[in-house]
Amino acid sequence: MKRNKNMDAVMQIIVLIFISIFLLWALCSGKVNYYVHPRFKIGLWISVLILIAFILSLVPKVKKARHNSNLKHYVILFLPVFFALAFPATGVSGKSMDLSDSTQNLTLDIESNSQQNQTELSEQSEDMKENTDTTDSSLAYDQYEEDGVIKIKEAVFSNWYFDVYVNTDDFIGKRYQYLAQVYSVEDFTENQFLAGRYFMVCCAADVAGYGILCESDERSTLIDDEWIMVTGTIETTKYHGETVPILTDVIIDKSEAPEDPYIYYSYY
Amino acid sequence: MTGKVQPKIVNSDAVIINRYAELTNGERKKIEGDVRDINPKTKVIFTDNAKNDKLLNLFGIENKKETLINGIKLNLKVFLGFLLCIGLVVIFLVPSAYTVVQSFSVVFLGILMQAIPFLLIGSFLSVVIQLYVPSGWILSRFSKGGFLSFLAAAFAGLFLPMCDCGTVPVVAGLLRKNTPLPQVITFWLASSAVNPLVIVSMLYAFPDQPMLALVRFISGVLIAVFVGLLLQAFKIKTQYILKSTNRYVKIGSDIGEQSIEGVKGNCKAVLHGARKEFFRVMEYITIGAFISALLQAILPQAAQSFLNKTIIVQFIIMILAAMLMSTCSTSNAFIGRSFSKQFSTIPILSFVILGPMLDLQNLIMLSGTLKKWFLLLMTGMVIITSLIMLGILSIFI
Repeated sequence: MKRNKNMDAVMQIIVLIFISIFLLWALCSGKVNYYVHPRFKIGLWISVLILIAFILSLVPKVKKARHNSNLKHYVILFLPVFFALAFPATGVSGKSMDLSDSTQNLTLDIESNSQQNQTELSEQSEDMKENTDTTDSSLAYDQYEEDGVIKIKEAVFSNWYFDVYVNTDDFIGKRYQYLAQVYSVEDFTENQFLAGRYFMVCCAADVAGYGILCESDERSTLIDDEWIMVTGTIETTKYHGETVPILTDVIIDKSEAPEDPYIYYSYY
Repeated sequence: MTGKVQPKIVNSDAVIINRYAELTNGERKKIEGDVRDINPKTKVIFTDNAKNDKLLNLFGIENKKETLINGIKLNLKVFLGFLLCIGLVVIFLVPSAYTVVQSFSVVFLGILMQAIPFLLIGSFLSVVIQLYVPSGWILSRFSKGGFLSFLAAAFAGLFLPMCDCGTVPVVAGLLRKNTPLPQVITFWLASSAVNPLVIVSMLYAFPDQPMLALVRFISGVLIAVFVGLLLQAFKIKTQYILKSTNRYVKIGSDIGEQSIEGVKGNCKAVLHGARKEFFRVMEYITIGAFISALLQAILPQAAQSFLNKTIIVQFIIMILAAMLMSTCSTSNAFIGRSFSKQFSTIPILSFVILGPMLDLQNLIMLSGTLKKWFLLLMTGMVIITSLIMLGILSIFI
């Protein structure tokens, strides 16, 4: 009567096109890693295909006019579209970071999250599994040593981090370097801060930060969430009555933000 | 009656009911409600006189009072739009406001993105159940066994390797198939709290306490079965708690227009149904994700002030956190672990187990199918059951 198109179908097509384009863009540009864990990639690719199938199945319906359709339902679906367009993704800011709780015995098996160095990494993680049985858990990371400094890459960061907390004694005196973000904690002294990373388990809603206490005179030049390459020697200190690892003799180099801001947990 | 006229009502501007004098007020209300459920835009007019004012209105002859109301409504919309614009200008001009909204947006879209694959799986599964599994079969499975049927429902839920948001469409599908409510709720609670992945994640999150994985598994099943039995005892029937929209917008009748013959017809029918189901849940999950992202932005600061309180306070905070934070069942073990400094084991367990069962986002999604009072009742039952269970447990841990 008033319109000779099926507005329901038209609206659904528009919503589906927007969602598919956004997902495709996120998948192709790698921005998807800002939102969800990389293990969702396959699922999202399949979802895009299904959404396209939905669109195709809707096209013939457009001409079958339906009178008096209720379009209010679709307004809400444009909300994500609006946010995706107006506020493009960046890394975290303003989230809290924590020292790991040393009373918890945590060992995490991180597996590769980028496909390029998958083979390399799987060898690494096998090495690590063998080594975790031995008494000194710091030995697993000695292979990354360059010029007296053990360089901890993102792929092994979570393993290393929790190992340091669980078997702190094994790591004392060793010098490590890793990429980190700065985080201030209220009850720290003036030259202390946390150098750590944000971990993602499932999606951006469960991002949690974990860091190691650092002491440095350059503290005052650092601002929160800033990216630094931190190098330091592991010692222990008391914090709230508990023994925690601390980086001493710290050298700080300002650094660029990496492509993926998060460390991705993989536990299966 | 409604089943047959439903497609016609959907396409109509108004339903005119004559010879209505014999109808009681309640009956009139019910008719109005039913029509509104089928299509909110369709008006219901009780009249024996075709020249009735409201009727004339329908055909473009306006009545002054309504023009005035519409005018006020329009002004209100303009005003709200204006406020929104100012808000947006502030957000884009003030850098700190922009970053806050930006991180909100990442969380909001993150929740939606990880849910989409599961929603699609759920939608297809739901349609397949509705189209191909005969109601009689499900009914006979569930109505015979009594207690055993609850265990069966719980285990069906346990081994469904899906995130909780993907299960919502399946639940809707089962209910529309007239599956007995108590068993469906048992299935829902069990599948949202525990699945194979969850056990693995618990083992990784609490490697020194593998008992906790077992405790989560067992208490998940027990809570699910117990709440199901309670519902059985209350004799609440599916049709009372199903939102009436869902009584008429059965997928079966939507697909009725299409032939479900041959491979092509079948594929078309499934695709069509899954799309409908997907849009139905998408609306609710968008609202749910929006609210939980908003709360995530506000809550952490507020939660800090409640630290180091007694176990009951901790328990309440953890349950609130579980409801509002809407983390997936597979990831919340790690979130729970991060609370271990401030909270003791039992409240953390309640966070981990009840999180997906009482997740606000899931409840909002379910509210598309189930009536709100029932969801409140279910939430209450789950909380009380778990309080008792974890209370007993705390004697041993």
